[in-house]
Amino acid sequence: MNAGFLDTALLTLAWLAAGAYGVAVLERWIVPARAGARGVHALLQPLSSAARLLRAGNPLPARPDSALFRSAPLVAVATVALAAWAVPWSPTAAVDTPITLFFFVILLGPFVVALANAGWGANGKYGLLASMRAASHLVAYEVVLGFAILGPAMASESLSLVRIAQAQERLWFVVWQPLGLVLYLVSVLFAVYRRPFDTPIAGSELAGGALAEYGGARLLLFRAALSALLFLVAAVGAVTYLGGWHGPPGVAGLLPGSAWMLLKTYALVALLLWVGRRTPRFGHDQMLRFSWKVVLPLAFVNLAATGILILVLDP
Amino acid sequence: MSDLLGGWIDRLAALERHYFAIDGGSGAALLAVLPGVDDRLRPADSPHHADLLLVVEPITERLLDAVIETYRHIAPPRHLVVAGVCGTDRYGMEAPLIRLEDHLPVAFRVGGNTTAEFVRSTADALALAIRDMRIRRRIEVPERTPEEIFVPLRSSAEREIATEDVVLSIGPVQTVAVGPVRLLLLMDGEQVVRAEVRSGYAAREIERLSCERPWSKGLFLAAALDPLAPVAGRTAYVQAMEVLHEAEPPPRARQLRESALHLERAASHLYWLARFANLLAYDALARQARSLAAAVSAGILTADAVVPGGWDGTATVGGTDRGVPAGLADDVHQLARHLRADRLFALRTRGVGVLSAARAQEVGTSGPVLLASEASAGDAWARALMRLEGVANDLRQATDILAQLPEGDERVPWTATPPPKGAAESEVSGPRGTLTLQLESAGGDRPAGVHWARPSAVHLALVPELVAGHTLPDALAAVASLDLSMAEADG
Repeated sequence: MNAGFLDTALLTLAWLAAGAYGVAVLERWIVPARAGARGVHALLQPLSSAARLLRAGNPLPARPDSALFRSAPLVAVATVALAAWAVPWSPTAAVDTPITLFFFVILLGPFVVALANAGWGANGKYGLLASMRAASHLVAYEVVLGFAILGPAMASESLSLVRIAQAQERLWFVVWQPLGLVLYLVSVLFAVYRRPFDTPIAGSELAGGALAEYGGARLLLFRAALSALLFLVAAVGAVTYLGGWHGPPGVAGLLPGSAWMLLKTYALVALLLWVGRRTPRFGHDQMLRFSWKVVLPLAFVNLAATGILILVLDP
Repeated sequence: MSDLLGGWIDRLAALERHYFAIDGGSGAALLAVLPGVDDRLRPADSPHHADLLLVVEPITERLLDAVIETYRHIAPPRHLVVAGVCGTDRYGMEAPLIRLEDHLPVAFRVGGNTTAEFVRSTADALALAIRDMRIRRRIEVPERTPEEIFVPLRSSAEREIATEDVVLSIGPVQTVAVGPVRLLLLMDGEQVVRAEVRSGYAAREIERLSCERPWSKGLFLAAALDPLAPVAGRTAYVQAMEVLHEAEPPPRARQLRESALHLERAASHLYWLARFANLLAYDALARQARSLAAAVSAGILTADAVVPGGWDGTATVGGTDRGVPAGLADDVHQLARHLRADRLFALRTRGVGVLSAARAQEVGTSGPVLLASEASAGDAWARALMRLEGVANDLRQATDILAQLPEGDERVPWTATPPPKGAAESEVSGPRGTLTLQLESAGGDRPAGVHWARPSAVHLALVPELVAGHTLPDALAAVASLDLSMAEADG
């Protein structure tokens, strides 16, 4: 194994961990237990949580499907780490391929495998239901997500995330494709198992669902992967609709491009967390119905409107 | 070096505690308030995710297995904290309750009172104590053999397609009712085909204990019947005693009792809404309900003031001039209006757990469940709104009563002699419905017969028919919408 590969891998994991940490802090700030409880110790609490879980050992359920149960958190982390590769933080810090966007959407898929394996591997009824939910979850979001993300690809005539960001130098896509951003955000809420679509890991229904039997370091890995996943989809949202590393006109010079990118990413993370707090969890059947009967038709409308606007505006 | 590092990790880990709670029957208000008391105290979804087990009493022999099993799953270092009234202290030696200290390494015990009146101070004490917790004792926890259950599956002829049925066991520690109850759901995928209910985990045998203890001790037992509504239970008992003694409480006392009942119903409904919102993972609603409930609890009139012969103002903290903070009823009314227009809330609760008016009357339901079936659609949505609008009404009426209290004595002279031979019945409308007590006296120093008609027991019997055919999330919402108090249902 060459050293360059190892460096890249470690670096990716490090910045993913940092991103997940940021999400965990925001989570405590956006969703405080009570009004005015946004204390500074929210900055330390994710570390506290991690320390606690690392100390707690690696408990196994009574009769697990051992290989699946043990490997699931690793699959989750590996998936996220691979997907992380796609995000261009600045024109220089980017892996540019002609199909990066496609690569990213496809790589969200295997995360479902991690959750389904986790639920199945725990060998319990909650886990079983959760793993079935996770499997149908994939069907619910993948098509919708694919269509929601086509708008920017059409406008920039490319599936390269770098090209998509470059195409927004003068005008961000969100300005003339606002519905596209909304659809993207809704479908990624599915994709990252956040409220109101967190049915496979639902706390009050299935006692944590697929994660119910996990504890210790494995739970920490799973939680970190879930947070990092939210961070990543927000980053890709910032690239596809909010201009990527381009700052808002007029003030763009104030911060370097990657700082703008980080700022937009966390703004989207905050928005997604806030939405989750303001909506009750959907029933699993309602979620599927919502995805196929509301979001997907809207995505078609968005696609047609984008096409017409491209012809008319010729941006 | 490693000690130093370990010390730092300990201090870091103590910045946040994740607790998993087991509610033996009286934890409704405490557990609803706790997430809002200290932001370092966070509820966990599963015992595996928690490092602290919080047990709210009463704990019966039957529930002990579940407590021990849950304790074993808490992440090490396991901390165990108990809140509530210990069995032998107040219920008497004969009560079928256990002291958890005899079975598990309890780090400490908090409070004697987990009812709405004292919940804030109990929660604060708990938060403070947990933050500074350092105690770690190691006790070998005995292995337990799990209770065996048998649920018949459907034959292949009964099933539409050849998928296998699964029996999902929920409880006895669960999120849908206050206190322990076990639901056995026969599931076809996400769909509940049939449901069975196993109850009795919170049975303290209140009726038997009441007959074995002196009349005065019965006051405590009546208040403990439904730990979520001590005023209702105590008032029913006191009224029955007054009938037996042929004593008439002064009008001022009647009015004070009436307002105390109103306030108790209001607080109980709001705590229910907070729990229901938690089940739906609706954080914003849960927080609103929680803060309203805390505001109502601050003004609540305590159960101890309800005494035979009238009202004992000295037993209430802060005297009788407490009451509803101004504007609270309007806030609740506002919330009810928002909830009525809330389409996402309707999406999750409309058509869930529908109970027809005819059926509701047939089985003898009462309170908000009956009202929702008679005046509205009889689903979870209707029950939620019926309760919330009831809260606004209760608060207004309590305010009116307290503003126009008649002058005069609060109590008539009362002799502690046992009541003469006879029987009496009294009826009180509590948060969950009509609570009826039949009290018999043979002229002795203890009651000859005590019989409670308990609304939660009636509602519990409806669970199988309400959940059949629903998907799992809807089934859980349907059960939660009944506002079951298992301590009251089990007696």
